[in-house]
Amino acid sequence: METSSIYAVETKDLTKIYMPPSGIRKVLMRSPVRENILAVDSINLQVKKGEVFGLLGPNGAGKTTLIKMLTTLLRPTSGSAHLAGFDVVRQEDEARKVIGLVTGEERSFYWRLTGRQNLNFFAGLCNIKRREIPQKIDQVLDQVGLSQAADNMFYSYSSGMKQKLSIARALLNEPQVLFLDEPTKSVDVIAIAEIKRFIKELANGEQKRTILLATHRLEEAEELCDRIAIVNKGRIIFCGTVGELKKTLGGRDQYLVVTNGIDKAGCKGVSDKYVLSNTMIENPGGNGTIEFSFSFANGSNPLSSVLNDIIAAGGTILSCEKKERRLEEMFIDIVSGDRN
Amino acid sequence: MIFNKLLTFVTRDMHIELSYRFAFAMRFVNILFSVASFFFISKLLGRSANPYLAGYHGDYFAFVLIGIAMTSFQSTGLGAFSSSISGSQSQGTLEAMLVTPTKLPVIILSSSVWDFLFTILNILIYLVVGTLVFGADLGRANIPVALVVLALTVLIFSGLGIISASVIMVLKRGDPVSWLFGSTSSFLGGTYFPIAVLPVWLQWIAYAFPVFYALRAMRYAVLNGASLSMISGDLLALLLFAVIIMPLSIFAFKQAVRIAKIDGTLGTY
Repeated sequence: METSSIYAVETKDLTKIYMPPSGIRKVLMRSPVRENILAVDSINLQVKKGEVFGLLGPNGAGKTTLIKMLTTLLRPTSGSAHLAGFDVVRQEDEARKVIGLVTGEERSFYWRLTGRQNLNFFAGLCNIKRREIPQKIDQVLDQVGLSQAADNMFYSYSSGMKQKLSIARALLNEPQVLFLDEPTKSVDVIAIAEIKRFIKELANGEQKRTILLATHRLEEAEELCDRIAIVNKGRIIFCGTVGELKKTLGGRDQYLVVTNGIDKAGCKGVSDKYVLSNTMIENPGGNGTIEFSFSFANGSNPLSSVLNDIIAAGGTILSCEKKERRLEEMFIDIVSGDRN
Repeated sequence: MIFNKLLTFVTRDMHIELSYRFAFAMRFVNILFSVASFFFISKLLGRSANPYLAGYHGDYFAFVLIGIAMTSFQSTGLGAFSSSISGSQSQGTLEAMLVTPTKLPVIILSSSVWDFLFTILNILIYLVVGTLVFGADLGRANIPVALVVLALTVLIFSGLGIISASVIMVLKRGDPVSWLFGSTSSFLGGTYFPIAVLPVWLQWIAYAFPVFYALRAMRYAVLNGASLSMISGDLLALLLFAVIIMPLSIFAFKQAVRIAKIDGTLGTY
């Protein structure tokens, strides 16, 4: 099913407020929601067809709420969302035909059925013709490397195998948009590598699926995503490529100069002269070797002058190393900045 | 397409049921013991129950067999939908089903098909064991009329079951509908005894429960071979219950889904 929209996922002022129950429901049930909670706040998102888009954010940022609204499991309070052109509220049946969902939740299968029986059931729900189901199941099992274990009971699967089966299930209806909500949450490094390989294959395959990946693992987003959005407190606080994020925050690479022949006071003088930020001066061995760590303000880089002044003050440069900022550090900076 | 979906759900439930083989076998052993118990109770009562059972040829054993059969359908209708919802919520499979192109009403209705099929199998075994092993006399049964009564009964109790599932979807536990109709109707409806033995004021309350009309109509159809016209009063009452309950159940279910989707509690339990 194809539509004319150029965006696979598009939201306009999408908002979700969880409200405490009222009336008779307030008396009959205890809700965890005591007051209005703004979980998603006017999110505007445009994900192009074939794009791998990362949703990053701390716990409780609103990523899962956003995905639940996009996958029709949760009704937005206001705003709109379209999947391949279909409104997720008004055309939810059509929207569900173009999506696949993989969560980090192991409990979404029948534990007393085999992997194949589970897929057989969900294939039936995906309107796949009965005669085509066995072939389709073999195909997706092969794709995720679970063919050998297909006839084992689901409860005997390892966490990695369960997650692979979840991906296989999401591929049954050949979705245009694949939502991956923390797919590597509880799996080991080998399974993580395999899952990342599937995602790359899906993104680069003939069908060029759109993938929306919500994750805590920043290196995963850096490796897999064309663009990312950082979500905090229900709002998007950054949207762009990882390169753009680095550019935005990139003037603050950290330098580590190891020197001797100059004391802490000398280094402090240099630091004060150039107004260096994030400065740390340590004398780790107590043997006269000083580790002088600093970064420059955005746009300036007087490294040569700093080194010359250390030498002029009697110091010897033993090493000088530029430490490029990791995505994780930038993520912490941007989220902390938003919190402050 | 709908048939394929039904088949998909039945296949799933059959595989799960058969994976607990011992429990599956024990169900049928239990039926044998249950039928045998009522057979000997009927021997104990002997002719003493006859004045109350005159309208049913005085055979308590056949009377109670029909009562058990109908109560089983009532229990299935009342419980299958809500247990399908709460089971899927606690297993975590409900949300996985809801992101497929299958609509929620189809999921709920299809999830209960196995329960109804299994109930039919149970009832058939009850009746076969009751007639062939213990000699219950069901020879006068008017099967087409009995099927009409059964269809109306299943419709009414499925409606009540859908209302019950709606309550479960929103409140998660504690369902007044099943409690009201499940616990009171076997007493007031006359599953194990004719309501003529009850005080008059209790008999009046019994008239408010559909199970009373369902049981009486079914017993007349099976034990007396009654025609449609002979039980038209009971059929009319059942039809009236169905006309009221079915639209109410659809409304309640739509509201429950709307509330759960707004609250974000569709998959929680």
